Amino acid sequence: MAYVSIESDDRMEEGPEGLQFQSFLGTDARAASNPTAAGGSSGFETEGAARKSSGFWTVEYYQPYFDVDTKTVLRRCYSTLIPTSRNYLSTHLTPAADLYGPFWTLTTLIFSLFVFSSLASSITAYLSDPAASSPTDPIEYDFSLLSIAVGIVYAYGLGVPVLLWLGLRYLGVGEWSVIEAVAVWGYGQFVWIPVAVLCVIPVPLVRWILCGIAFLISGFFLVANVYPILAAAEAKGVRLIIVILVLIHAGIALCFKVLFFSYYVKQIGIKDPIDAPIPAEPIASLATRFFDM
Amino acid sequence: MDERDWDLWGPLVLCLMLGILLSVNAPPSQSLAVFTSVVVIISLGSLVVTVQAKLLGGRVSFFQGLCVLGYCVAPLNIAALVSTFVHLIYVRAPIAIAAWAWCVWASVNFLDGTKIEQQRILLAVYPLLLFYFTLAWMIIVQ
Repeated sequence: MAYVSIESDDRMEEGPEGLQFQSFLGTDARAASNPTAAGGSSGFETEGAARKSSGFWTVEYYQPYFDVDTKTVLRRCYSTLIPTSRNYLSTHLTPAADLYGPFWTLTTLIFSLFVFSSLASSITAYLSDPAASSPTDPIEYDFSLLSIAVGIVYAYGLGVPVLLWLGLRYLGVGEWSVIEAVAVWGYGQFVWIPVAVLCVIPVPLVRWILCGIAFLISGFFLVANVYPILAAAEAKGVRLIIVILVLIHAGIALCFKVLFFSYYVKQIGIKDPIDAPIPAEPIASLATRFFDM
Repeated sequence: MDERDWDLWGPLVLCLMLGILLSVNAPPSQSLAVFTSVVVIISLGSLVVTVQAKLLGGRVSFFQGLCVLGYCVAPLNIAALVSTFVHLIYVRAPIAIAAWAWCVWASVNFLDGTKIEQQRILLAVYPLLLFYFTLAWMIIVQ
């Protein structure tokens, strides 16, 4: 058994077109049913050739990044919820990371943050003053929340991994591709979607606990998967980048909580220490009504 | 529909009609924003869903995808028309949900014809669900 030693420089230059284990079981079936599919990855050479021959403006260039099945995407999503996925990159993102999961997880997150936040505000408005609102009143929703959500989620889910990957490449560290970085961040935000659904519950303590749990789960997932990449560097200082990442993540969690999950009109339980930035109805008279009930 | 026989007039008319219906009922300060967002959502949404279907290996031509997805917005136009006259949410919501289901069913039929593999069909359908649900949501809450 002779192993060919691979230079680390060569490995770093290889993207998804490098040496990777390709499963041909699925691709054979696909090749049989799709003989003329342009850029179809029906083999390693075809995939490499297709990538080299098409420019980055064609659809075929990106097709290798969407080479996943429904089961695979779902498995990658819910395995981020389990705290033991330290080697997510090697166990779940094989043979190659995909772009479908991260992009649609982030888009679904934007969508659910906006919809459930609007729903929560209308529910709390209805609960605190059932006489005023009626079934004919439209739910009022704030469009600016949507653009804020889009900005924050895409900047964090796509921008931070790309910047981190660029920074690490500059430092000469990290044997992962930008697609894997985006995938780790994108899939890691999956836990916020069920939390967004549950945060419709208008009890402040419940919302803070839920956000805390989401922060811990996604933060642990990020740290457990990014730290080994950083630890492979020679300079010990690179490991401090993980602290910056944790701080950014905490900031994002706080943003989500304050911007989207803070609609209280009737105080149930302990008062929320941070009020919603978007003004709600005055609570003085409603608080007395609550205590008089 | 024949593979090469696409046109964008139908989708354009349907999109503009939906935008006008929704913006007429919006408060005057927001009506332009509502119209803009409807047109943007429909055009960007069809674009993204078509590109996504192509990326997943579907054999669909780009403009034909845009054409079919645009025509599939028609049931939501009906729901928007009903919502213009009926303001009771207990009527709006079921009608909008029914229109959403109709749109999704129609576009899934289209996707089935693009020969995406069976184990990926849900991945291609999911963006459709989100896209039409966004429009249905705007109809319900106007």
